[in-house]
Amino acid sequence: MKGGQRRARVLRTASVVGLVILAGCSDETSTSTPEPVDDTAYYSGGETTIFNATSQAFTFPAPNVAQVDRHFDGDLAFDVAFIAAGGTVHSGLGPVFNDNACVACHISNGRGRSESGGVVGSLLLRASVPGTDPHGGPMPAPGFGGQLNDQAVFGTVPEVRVRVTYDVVTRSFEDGTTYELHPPRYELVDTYVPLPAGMLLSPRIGLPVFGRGLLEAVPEETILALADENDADEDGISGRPNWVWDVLAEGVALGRFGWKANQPSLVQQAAAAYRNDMGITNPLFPTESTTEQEQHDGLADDPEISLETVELSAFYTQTLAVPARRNIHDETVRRGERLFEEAKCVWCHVARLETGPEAVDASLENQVIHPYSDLLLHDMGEELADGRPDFVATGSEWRTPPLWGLGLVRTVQGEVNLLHDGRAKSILEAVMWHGGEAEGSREVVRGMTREERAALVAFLESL
Amino acid sequence: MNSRLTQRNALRNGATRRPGPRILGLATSIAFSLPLFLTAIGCSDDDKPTSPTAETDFAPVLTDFAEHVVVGTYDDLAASAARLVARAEELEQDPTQARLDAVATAWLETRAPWESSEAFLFGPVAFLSIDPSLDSWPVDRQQLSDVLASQLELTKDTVAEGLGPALRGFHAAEYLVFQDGLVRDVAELTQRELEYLVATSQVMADDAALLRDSWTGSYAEQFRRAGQSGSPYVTQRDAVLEIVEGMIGICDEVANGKIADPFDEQDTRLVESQFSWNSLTDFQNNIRSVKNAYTGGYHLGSDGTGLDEFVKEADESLDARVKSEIDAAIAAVGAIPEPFRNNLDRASEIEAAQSAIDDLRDTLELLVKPLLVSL
Repeated sequence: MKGGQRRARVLRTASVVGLVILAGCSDETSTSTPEPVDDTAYYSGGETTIFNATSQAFTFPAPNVAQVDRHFDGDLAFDVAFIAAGGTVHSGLGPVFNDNACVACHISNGRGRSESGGVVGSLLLRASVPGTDPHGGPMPAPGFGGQLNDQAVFGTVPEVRVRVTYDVVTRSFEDGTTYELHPPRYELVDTYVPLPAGMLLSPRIGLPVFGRGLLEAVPEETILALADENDADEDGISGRPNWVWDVLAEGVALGRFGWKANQPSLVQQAAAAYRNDMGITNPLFPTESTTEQEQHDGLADDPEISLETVELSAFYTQTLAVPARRNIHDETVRRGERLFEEAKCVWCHVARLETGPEAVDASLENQVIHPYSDLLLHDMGEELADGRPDFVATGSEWRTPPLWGLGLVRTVQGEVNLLHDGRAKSILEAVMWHGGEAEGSREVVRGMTREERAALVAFLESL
Repeated sequence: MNSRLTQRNALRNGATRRPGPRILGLATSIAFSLPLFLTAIGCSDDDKPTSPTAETDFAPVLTDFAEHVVVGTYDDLAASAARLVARAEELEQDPTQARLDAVATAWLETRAPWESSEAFLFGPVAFLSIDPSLDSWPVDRQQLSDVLASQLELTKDTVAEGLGPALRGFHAAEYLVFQDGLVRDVAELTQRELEYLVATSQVMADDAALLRDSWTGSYAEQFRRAGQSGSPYVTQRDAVLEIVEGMIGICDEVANGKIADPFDEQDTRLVESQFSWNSLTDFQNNIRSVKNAYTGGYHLGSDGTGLDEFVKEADESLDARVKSEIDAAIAAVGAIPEPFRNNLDRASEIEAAQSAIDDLRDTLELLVKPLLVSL
């Protein structure tokens, strides 16, 4: 086993056949509904859409990818499992790290595991102390940097081990039905040096990696036009862009990626993950996270990978296919979609965006996509807050996560663990965690009948 | 790193193994045949002599695949891994050459069901990251030697929790037991190595048992009940596709990863199972797992209800083609001289094997998959 699956350099035209049949056959029974659903709604990723609802759904190249070879070269780069410095191949891991391969935290290109045997799975904790770094980002925590690394190469001590337990909170819908929420409780043990005072922590779980090239290709002005920073229209929903540091451009840029939209590009996102998650230094982040710490390896092997490698693995994610929706003609699904709109969920989970005329691959250009995100920051309330600012994002703001592929999460990784720390064990739990700007929408859902809630979930599972 | 990658890319781009037009031709013919295809199976009109359409019941296939092929393979894996532990413990108690040979045999007997499971690397093996835990490559020999030279107590727990996936599993055990295709001289094994071998075998046995139990506990049921509530598969067709994607995936992995990586770079370090010289057997077992997944069979004489029966009913020649391409792929891998790591210059045999596996993959991807989706 070497990371995830490889893909032959054959584009998957065959899957398109599956779609046409789906569209043409099994859903015909619902043609009696008054407003026929446009079949283009299947195409969540425009022409990058793939029709596949298996556990491999997030692993296909976009069927229209132009630079085919580059995608597959990127696949190889993304698949690599690293070993410690001094090893024969793919060396440079650590000295401290969270895991040794991209796929370890993006299972089948999807999410990570939040918990495993009482300790965190592929979830990690961002760390900082109050204040900002020279570029306005979080101030690294002395001795730990911007992230707690809970693994280490032999001879080096993991910075910390993180235990996690979940409490149970029982609440009710208006019809009296109860539901449970599971707030996590993290305990840091075996810290290699004492934790600095006032440390701020933010748990983050790996996000699915497909469709990101499309989000990157959405013009900045489109995203900014969705923003309503001071809630000028007084609808209770603001939506703010994050403005972050672009390492290559050496300037401030719009943040688009990560749970707090703190990365401006997929190349930088990938480079940061290489360095922060695996201890693989690269031209964007050329020093080990342990630099100036007790456990610095002192090796003159940095950067451990080239910019080309970073760009290749980023290109792989940029040009992955987006899985098509399912069951869009189903009446319950359609009812759920209307409820989703009526509850104003779509105000942040924006259903339709268009990409611009220029992107890293022609497949991404001028696409109509359905990510169900505005890529903006929203205050999600105290219960979800991490209390750790990240550039412009406050301690209670999170980027609207895209919802495409939501209904395949369990198929792809065997469990549902939604939200930034994987605390929500079902889609409905995730909905009921919403607070802050989304409180009104959540209360609409609280007031729904059992059938309405089921329809809402059926819609979300069709994404 | 950079120069090697650039080199590899140059090789990759320069040495196109597959004649592009042929692939394109096949793909295009499917694309062009799509309208016809639709007409043939369009189901809205009752007057069409439609093929089975939505009523096709794949439950027997899903059941035999889950309970026969997958659980059968994992049963063997768990049992043989437990034997590996027993042999390793016996070796540690009294390190004789005969006992080391017995460990080597047990390793090979554990390796076979694992490689025969790689056509279905989905479900718990992926969800629980058991694949990297059991079968990470390369072994981190540098770190392993540091661990062996240290005072760290070598137990199942320290290996499982304190050391990463590159320091355990099949290849760590293989590294301790084999050298240059032979079982090592028992006199060379240090006490620390013996302890490590026991500990890492114990972790392997735990992983294998977890894998088997995850399927027998609930996942086999979830899989078999595709299309019903409680299953992660909305339709039976999705579960059928899962089987096919797994078959395609391992063909890809063998032809374009396990063989191509070391061959393209002419780098023996990239060859998996190179200490035991078991690589070609691994690859053949991988293709045998494709056969098992396709036919619903595991072990000779226990053929179950497989996808082959549905393919055969719809297109007898396609079924025959799949089966003959499976056999041809196994034979072509077998035609590469042993051991693979010492024969990376045998381009004609290696390319022939890649080509045979790619043919099978193309057939599965471009013909079998669309056919099954249409049923």
